[in-house]
Amino acid sequence: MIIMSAKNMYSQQHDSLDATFVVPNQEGPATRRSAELVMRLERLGSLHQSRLSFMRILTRRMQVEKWSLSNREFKVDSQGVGYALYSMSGPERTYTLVAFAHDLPDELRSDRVIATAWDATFTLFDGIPTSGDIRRLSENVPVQEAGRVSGKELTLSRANRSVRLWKHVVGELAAGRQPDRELIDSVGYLMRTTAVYGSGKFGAADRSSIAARAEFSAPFQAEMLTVYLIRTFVRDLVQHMANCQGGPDTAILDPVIASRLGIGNSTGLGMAPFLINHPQLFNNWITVREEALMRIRNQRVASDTERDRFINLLRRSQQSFNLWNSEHPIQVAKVTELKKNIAALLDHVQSTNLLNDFPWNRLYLWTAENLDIESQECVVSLMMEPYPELVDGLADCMSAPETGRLRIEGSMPLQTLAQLIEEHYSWALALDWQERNNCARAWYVSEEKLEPRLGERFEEPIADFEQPLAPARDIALLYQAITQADGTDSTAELLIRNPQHRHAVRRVQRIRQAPYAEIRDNTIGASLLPFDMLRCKLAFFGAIHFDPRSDRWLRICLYANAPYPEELSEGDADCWIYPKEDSDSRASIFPCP
Amino acid sequence: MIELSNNEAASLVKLAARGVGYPWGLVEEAAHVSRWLIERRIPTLELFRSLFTWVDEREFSQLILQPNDNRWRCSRDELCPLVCGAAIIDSASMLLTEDKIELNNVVCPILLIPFISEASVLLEKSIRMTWKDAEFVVNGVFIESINDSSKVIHTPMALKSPASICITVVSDPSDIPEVLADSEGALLKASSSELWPVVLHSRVSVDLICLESLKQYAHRTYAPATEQSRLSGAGAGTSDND
Repeated sequence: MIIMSAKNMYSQQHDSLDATFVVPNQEGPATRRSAELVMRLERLGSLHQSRLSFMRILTRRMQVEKWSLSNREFKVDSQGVGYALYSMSGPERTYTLVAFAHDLPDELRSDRVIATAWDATFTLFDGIPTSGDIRRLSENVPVQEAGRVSGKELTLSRANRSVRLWKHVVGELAAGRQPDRELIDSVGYLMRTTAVYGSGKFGAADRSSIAARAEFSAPFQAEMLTVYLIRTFVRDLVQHMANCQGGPDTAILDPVIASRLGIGNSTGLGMAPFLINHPQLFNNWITVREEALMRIRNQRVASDTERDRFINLLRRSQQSFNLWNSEHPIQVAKVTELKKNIAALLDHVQSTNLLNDFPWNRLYLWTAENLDIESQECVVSLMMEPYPELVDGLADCMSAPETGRLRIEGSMPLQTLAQLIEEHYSWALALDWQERNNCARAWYVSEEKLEPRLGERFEEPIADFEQPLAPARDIALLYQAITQADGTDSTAELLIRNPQHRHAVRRVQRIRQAPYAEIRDNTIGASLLPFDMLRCKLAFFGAIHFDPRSDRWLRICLYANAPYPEELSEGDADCWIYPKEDSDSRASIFPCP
Repeated sequence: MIELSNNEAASLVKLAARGVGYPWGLVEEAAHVSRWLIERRIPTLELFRSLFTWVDEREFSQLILQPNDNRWRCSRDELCPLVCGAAIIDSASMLLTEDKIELNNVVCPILLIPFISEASVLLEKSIRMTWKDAEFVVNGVFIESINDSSKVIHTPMALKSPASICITVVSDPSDIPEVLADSEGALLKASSSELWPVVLHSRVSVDLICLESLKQYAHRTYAPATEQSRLSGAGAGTSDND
């Protein structure tokens, strides 16, 4: 079954794939990994960025298609108040980041989604805005959720400064000096976004209205373009503020330092339900990742160049992990283990044959046996790097119609439905749902700011407001109903009398053709770590340096080391995410294809 | 009036449906119906407002169907179009074996059309749906209204008043008038009937009273704020500045 065949300009790398679970394997020893292995939260919460990350898909496209910054207007005053426009033009269309800069008192700065004021607010405009558009947007974008945007806008976003780093950079540049590299690296960004809304939110264009455009065929490309341009705006704004403070003797921010700066992002629980609410989309993301891994494991031989590229990027990853700071004990332990394992892996690959006899399959099996899950998934991502021709076209297969609700197959015999549950949800049937620890939590939406939250079912008055984010429990209940449905033969008959199981039936029937659609863990248990869900989605965005601030709130960094728009034509638009070994040089030591 | 994206409207319908008591699986059907009707410029949110007002006066358990051959009933006099529509699509093959399906007193019957359309795609047959003076033939691509029945959809009565519905598979394709596209390809027409456009719309305008009413139903799905929720539910509580 072809799950998607969107056309794009990468005609030679355009790809499709078989969505069935086990692909007949004629070329090598590996099949796609099983959903039972992959879809556990511990593993999903250990995913790393890869060639299939949405940021890298975008920057590769922009370079190949020769996108350029076609217009820039910067109208910000010496107090840091005003607006700026950044227009990026591709082969067919132009998109403009409309940025509003504000003078925000420190006491109002909050990363919570419930905040009402920010240092900067943004929208991505479809085309080039007129003065009328800018006037309309200036009345709506700065107030974010309290305003309205239109079908001409694709995203809505806001960001706050890293106060510590912002003051330092402005102060040093104004004094004619460059900012401190260690401080830059310890924070990583001058601003962090606290939300990037797309897909019809607050009146913006629906994804379905732009999904047919080649540049938006991969998921979240409008959001990724927004953040990419925000990073450029932030670099320009900090220079502007330094210029205003320091006058003619102000230093120009060293491009090497500017390059190291990314855009931070604070992500709260709001993102976690996405993976459960978009099962087909999630299935497609994981499927392409597993397909890519299988293709690489089935390479009979590797060339010297392919081997060297892997080892080189492994070393560069090691540098990146040295900059991975977190205070969360779980993350600290994972990063410590990862650093140790990457060192061990470097020893291993230098003493083993990585050229013949299905080298990547042997390497994968070695990591599965010797390394922890975090390190295993890091290696999976790195193994994709030498093989753009096997991997990059899979980006075409990652989307799914947002609006597609699966039609229930009412004629399915209940016996078949029960077998599907036994095959795919035995782990859920094995849990005792009377045990309080197994259903200790409940997902709900708070009245306060309409944000998803996770509460304690037996301690808070939230059970009546529970969201459908507990597939394991709901499908166990469905199974129970099936076993008690005497005299009922078909799914349709069961649902006429028991419409409360309709949601669960849909999930079960989907998993036949989308085995990676479901997180195979309890999402309401007492031991749930929601940041695993956040990390999984953010890794697909291309985020690095995950820094949990609690079990349900993460900070990350996007686009650090990426080429700015004016560097796109010459710079490394692909492997920029790995810091260069010689960090003082902008030249890539080991250029990617 | 305020303009919403189709996604916003579907999200609102989804929450409002939950707010008046539908189980989640039917809430998903409501969102699907909402998207489908908005794409065809049918006054979707007004229809849902009428439906939800009616549902809100009942217990959901009273709306569950009691199938009896080809005629469906529930414990109340009137039938819910989402409950019936879901049953029709789940049991679509029944349309091939039965002469017809009859539904007595369906509230907001227009909300059945997306399900009928889906059934016609599934069965690869055109399906006729009649009530009162209206008659529609649906084939998955277009909806044909016989004798100007499309006007029914835009009258206030159609939004609310229950009607008895008869659904049959069109056995003879010659029953369907020839379909023509107009010069812009935006509106399909047949000799005596108007067909809904195949160009799909992604925006919808809604008046503020209707919007407010749906928001009130949606609001019931939100848990009241508590201090515990504020501090721990979203995972914050540490400093935001760095």
